[in-house]
Amino acid sequence: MLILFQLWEDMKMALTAIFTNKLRSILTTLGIIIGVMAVIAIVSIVNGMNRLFVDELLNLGGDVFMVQKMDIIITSNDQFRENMKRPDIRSDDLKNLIEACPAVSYISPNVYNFKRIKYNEKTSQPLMVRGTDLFQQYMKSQNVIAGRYLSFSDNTHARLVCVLGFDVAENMFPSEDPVGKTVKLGSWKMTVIGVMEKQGDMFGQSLDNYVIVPLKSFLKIYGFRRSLEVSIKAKEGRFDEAQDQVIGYFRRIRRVPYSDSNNFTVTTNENLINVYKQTTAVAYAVMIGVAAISLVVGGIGIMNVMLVSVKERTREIGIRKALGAKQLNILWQFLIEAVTLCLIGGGIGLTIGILIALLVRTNTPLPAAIPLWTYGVGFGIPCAVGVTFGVVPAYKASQLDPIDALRYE
Amino acid sequence: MSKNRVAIEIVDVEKVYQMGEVQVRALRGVSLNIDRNEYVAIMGPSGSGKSTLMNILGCLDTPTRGSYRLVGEEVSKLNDSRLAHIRNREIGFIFQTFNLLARATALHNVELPLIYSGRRKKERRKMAMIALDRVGLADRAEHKPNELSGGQRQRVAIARALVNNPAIILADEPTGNLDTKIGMEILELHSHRMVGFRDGSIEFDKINPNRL
Repeated sequence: MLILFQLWEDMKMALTAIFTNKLRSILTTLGIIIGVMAVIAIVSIVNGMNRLFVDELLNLGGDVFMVQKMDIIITSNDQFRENMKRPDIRSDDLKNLIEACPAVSYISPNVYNFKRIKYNEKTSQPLMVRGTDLFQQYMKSQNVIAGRYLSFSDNTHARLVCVLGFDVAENMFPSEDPVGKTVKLGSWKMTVIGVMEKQGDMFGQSLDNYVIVPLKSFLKIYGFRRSLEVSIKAKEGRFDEAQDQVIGYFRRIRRVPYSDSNNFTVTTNENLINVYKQTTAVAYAVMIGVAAISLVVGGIGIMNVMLVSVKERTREIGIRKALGAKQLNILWQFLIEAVTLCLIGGGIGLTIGILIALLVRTNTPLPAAIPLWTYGVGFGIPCAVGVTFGVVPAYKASQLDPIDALRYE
Repeated sequence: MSKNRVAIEIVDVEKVYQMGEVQVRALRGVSLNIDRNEYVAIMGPSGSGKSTLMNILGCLDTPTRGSYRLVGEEVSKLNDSRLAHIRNREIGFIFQTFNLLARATALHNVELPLIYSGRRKKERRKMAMIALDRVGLADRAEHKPNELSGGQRQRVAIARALVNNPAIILADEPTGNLDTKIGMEILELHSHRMVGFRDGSIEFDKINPNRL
């Protein structure tokens, strides 16, 4: 406690010294300000994106994974060509899946298309039309807020019904109850049977801009020649087992030789997060680069200004030594001054960084979350820079000969 | 006991400055003993090495040759930390040019030696205020040196030299900068302290008698 108090005393002394050269101090700390600001702003934004991605896009629920024809991220032409050659996943492929895979609880196929819908004279923006079955609603924790979800017989009879996403319902039916109304999907008349609850935004895209139709109706409307994306729910605690069984099942029905790799893609929450983290790693790398450069530049600035300060205050150092200051006292004084200077820069950088993060959060759909550890970084980095670049000037000051220092003009 | 009676003992001290090519011999074999409670003035024309000797006695400078024993201790053998301690506790130095910190208030200037003795803030404040009061500047505590007159500045310097109750007071031309009246005032302060404050203290003053 006493040490902290003493430290505070020393810092107050340093502050007086710093405030006598306000402009110089501010200019000196610019590098630190920019460095810390960059770290805070980028970490906050990337972190916010990560969190959102995990929380909302991957709202698959526990124990759910997907089997698709194509990889989710395609990085080369070769990969794309290989992906295109893969056989489609058809409804028939799924017939025996549940019997063949005892660890699987239920499955739900999905197909997607982007189309506009019409109600009376009103035409919507292009929105995602999703063909699926009743099990899909159990994959994600999504509730129906009006009417009902797809039923089993909707699918078997390929009924022309649809469930609307929240935004679609709101935009197309601002003042009436959509349930029971008829919307047009191309030339097909579809009866609205339900409305889903709101999910919110992501990356500026509404997650509620979709129409769900029975899979069979979808295939009837848009054609059968398309690959299904299968959501698979494992039985509780049997996630890995279920994946192995499903992979084995697909390899079997597709007759993949032992030596070949899978000609389909299994996607889990974890894969998705990993893929996502790989992309955000680039942002992190850039951030570290920018921050490192500005911190080094800032550190050199600090060193420079401290060297000037030592030179300017040679007499002061002489006086202090004549009055009984030890080498360590002088070293400490100038080191504290360098660290305080850096901390001021760090504080300003932290504040601006947080403001940027908040601005991004309020003015764009990107969420920005400031992780607690960035506050530590905001103070830790300046401290480290201050000590690293302050030690040489401080040491120089401490080694001054008292009488030479006193005589210095 | 006789050894302890001699507070300052310099033997054959030489100080040589290297000024570029030229060697300047500021002190050539000075020997001097000063006892406790002695009051000594060193006189001489300017450039005769008075200040050099003062600086050596004040442990600010080291002799090129010769020995300096301070209360039995050989000063040249002391490390920085010990020297700093002596400068802090045992010696009160009143500089010719006062050497006050220009940016600090009178109070802070007087507090400086106490900071390096590791005194707590409250205690420091109190002691510094008492010292300032003794030189009649209690009401100027928050003024900076450039807001004080020459005489007031000197009194701040004196308060600073006395605040830590040093055993030895070194004053480099304490009246050189001032008119006679203030000079007398200051000397009175010194002697007042010598009698009233601390028995057995050593007073060693260098004064310019021409100005008195």
